[in-house]
Amino acid sequence: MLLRQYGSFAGGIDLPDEKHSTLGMPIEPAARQGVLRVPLAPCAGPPARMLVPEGTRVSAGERIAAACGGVDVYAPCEGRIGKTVDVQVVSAVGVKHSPAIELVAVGQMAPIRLLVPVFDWRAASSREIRTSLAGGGLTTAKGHIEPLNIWVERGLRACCKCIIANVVEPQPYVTSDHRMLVENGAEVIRGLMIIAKALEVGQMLLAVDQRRVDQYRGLVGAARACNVAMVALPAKYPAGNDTLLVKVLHRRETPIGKETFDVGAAVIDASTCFAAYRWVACQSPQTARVVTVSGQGTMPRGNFWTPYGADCQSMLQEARGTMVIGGPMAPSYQADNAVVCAATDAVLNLKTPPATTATPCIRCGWCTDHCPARLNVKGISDAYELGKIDRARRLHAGACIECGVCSYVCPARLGLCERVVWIKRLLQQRPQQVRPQELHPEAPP
Amino acid sequence: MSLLTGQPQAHHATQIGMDVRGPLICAPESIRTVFIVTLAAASAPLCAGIVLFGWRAAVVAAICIGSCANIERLYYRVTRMPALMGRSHAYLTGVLLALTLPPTAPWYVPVVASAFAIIVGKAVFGGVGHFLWQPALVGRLAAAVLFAGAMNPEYWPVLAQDRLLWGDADKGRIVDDWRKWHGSCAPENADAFVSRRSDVVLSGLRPSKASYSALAYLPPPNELPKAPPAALGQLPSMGEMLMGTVPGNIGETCAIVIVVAGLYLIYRNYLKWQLPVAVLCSAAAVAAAAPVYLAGPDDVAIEVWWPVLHQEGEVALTYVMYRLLSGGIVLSAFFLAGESTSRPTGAGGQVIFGAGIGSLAMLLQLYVNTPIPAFMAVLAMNTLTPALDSLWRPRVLGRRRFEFLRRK
Repeated sequence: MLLRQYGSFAGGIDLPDEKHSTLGMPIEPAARQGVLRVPLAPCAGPPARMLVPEGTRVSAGERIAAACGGVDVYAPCEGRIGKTVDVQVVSAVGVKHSPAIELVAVGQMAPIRLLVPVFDWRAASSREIRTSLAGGGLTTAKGHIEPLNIWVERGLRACCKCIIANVVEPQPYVTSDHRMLVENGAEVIRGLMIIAKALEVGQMLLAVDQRRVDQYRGLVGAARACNVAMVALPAKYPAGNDTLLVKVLHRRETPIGKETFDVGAAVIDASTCFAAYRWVACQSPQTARVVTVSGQGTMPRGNFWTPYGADCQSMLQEARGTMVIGGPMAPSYQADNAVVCAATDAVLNLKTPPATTATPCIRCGWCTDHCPARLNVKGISDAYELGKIDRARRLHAGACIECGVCSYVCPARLGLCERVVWIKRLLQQRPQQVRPQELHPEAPP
Repeated sequence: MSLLTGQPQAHHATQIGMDVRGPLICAPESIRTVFIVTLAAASAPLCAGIVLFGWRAAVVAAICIGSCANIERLYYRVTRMPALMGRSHAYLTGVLLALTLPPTAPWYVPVVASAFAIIVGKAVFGGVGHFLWQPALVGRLAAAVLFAGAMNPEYWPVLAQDRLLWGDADKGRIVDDWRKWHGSCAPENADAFVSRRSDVVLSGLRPSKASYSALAYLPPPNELPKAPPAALGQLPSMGEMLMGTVPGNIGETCAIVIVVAGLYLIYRNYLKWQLPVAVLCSAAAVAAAAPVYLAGPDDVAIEVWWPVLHQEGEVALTYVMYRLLSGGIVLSAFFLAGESTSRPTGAGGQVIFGAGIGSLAMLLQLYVNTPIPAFMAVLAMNTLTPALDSLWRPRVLGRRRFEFLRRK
């Protein structure tokens, strides 16, 4: 059997797939943008320190800023360094501000080429690979976005048993990881093996969507050679969530407030594996990623190999509607001056939802029925309304996996997901000292 | 920010520097859809009732729906509150109320029942989504209390086979023993057969009456006329009970249509299958176990526990089926108990809720002289809904089973 099939999880919904328009489109280099604004702090940590003065001409792949706690920054293409500006990039809690260097681009974005390995990573020790991973501007691209070497260090400390490459992509419209796996699957699998080697784990899994299995047949040889098990997951949203992947594949539930490392599983995504392979084996830094441009209405659809720092809004050209970074389910990030960074897997144009007024809850119970975390969603929402942070904590608001199913199914159109996620982040940031007034201005003291 | 409306306000988010947005797509079903689909499903037993009980049932239903909608509009105009959710829930309440009323009710009964349903049952609690007791049943209970005579006659009509839909249910002729609705024409100068309801017939098994000598006789056919009365021999055939051609409230008799419409609600995910199954199973279990009283020698009532074991298996099955099909238990299981807001939300809570309704309804039907046993059971269990909701919750992801019991 090519793909092992596993069990499922409680809750979840069938979302419309909506991927057909970009599913078969090969990765193309993105259209040239005159000015790139390359973020200096694309992940957690302080911004990188500039190495080259303003006005310098840099070539593609040249290091232009050195990490001081974050990651190195490389020039995505040939160009001239401009002044420092402020942009927004996707982070763990929505979008965040980051300083960025303007790069007046001269060169065109090159397509993805097959590179010749210059480093024998199969013979290298785990320590050598870890040293190598510290450079190259490598970051994780999902969840808590951080430098890859810091992620690996945390994984090592947690003594992981298995590593899962998450290529499920449960959100509608998004096809970037799928195309990456179809076209550069062998490199993704080798990258997974490199990261597994750095983490010193034996078991490697590649989780894919059951609906796309027939397009991954060509990967079987590479997966066998690298001892990677491919697993097809049922087409149920949110099967691609890290916590649920670990629950289904590793048979461990992540305790509330912990992360998947704490149950011995590391979850990584396809684009990070790809970038890790190209840096460690071929010494080519991570300066671009595949971004799906799609949505409702007319826009240049496709999967584009886009340099970091490309402006998200101009990728949609003149599409009308709401620009969303990432998938249309929660949390969907919308920002005006957002640029492409490692976590930007899709730029979508969606119809602006009509301004519906929320109606009273009729206690249909669908939010709890479909919640993958089995939360009392309406109870937490009531606690938000009443400003009772302790009640929300007792209802385990911290177990929310931020999938947005509750808001999606709610027939009363209550903003359930926003409230639960908001309370969860409030409890995460300052667990001890939350005043009820902070939650709700009219709350009793 | 109001409790009823409102997204998280913008200044909340800016306080700790977080911008949380929900999904930009949503499922097509809104509350209005939920109410309208439920209303469409509830119209199926109503249509069956109109066919079986004639134009009088249609008039009762029309008065119910019209007065529910108008009373709700009037209430919100008088109290100057903004009306929530349009009128779809008022229409739904009207249809559910019509299902529970007898077809021969005089015109003022549905008006008063609608007023109680809308005002006492719904509006004083705060409208849609906030009531504790199912509003239609509040109205039905008020009608049963206020108009005890009109609502609980001894003889109830059902139209004859050749007068369906157009017959007048008030023009009836009393037939005490009619086991052949099929194939018999209407009596002379009448449209309907009039007889006692099946739960009233079965009330002869109570300790105070004890007028039957057995559940059923299975003697050789030639001895049949000489046999003393047996309880099940007084009732219409099982096929007629399932088709609903028996006397009763408008919507409660036609079990086949109720079950099909209820299955549609289950298919649409508006009703969990656990609830009707729990109601029907617990009612059947109580009917199977609870004692009946048979007239013994010397006018002494004999108490018979486990009546299903008392006679042969076929009799046992028939007895339990008759018990389930009389007294509105099926209608309660699929429509009145399962309507959202007044039932627990989780599957576990609904099982307890349904088991309570089924057993309570069956006990009321067995031992208490009430015309609406199942409806009263639903109202009683509605009271416990908040308690059941907090009693049973699914295990949250990442917590162990019964973690709240473990020592910290």
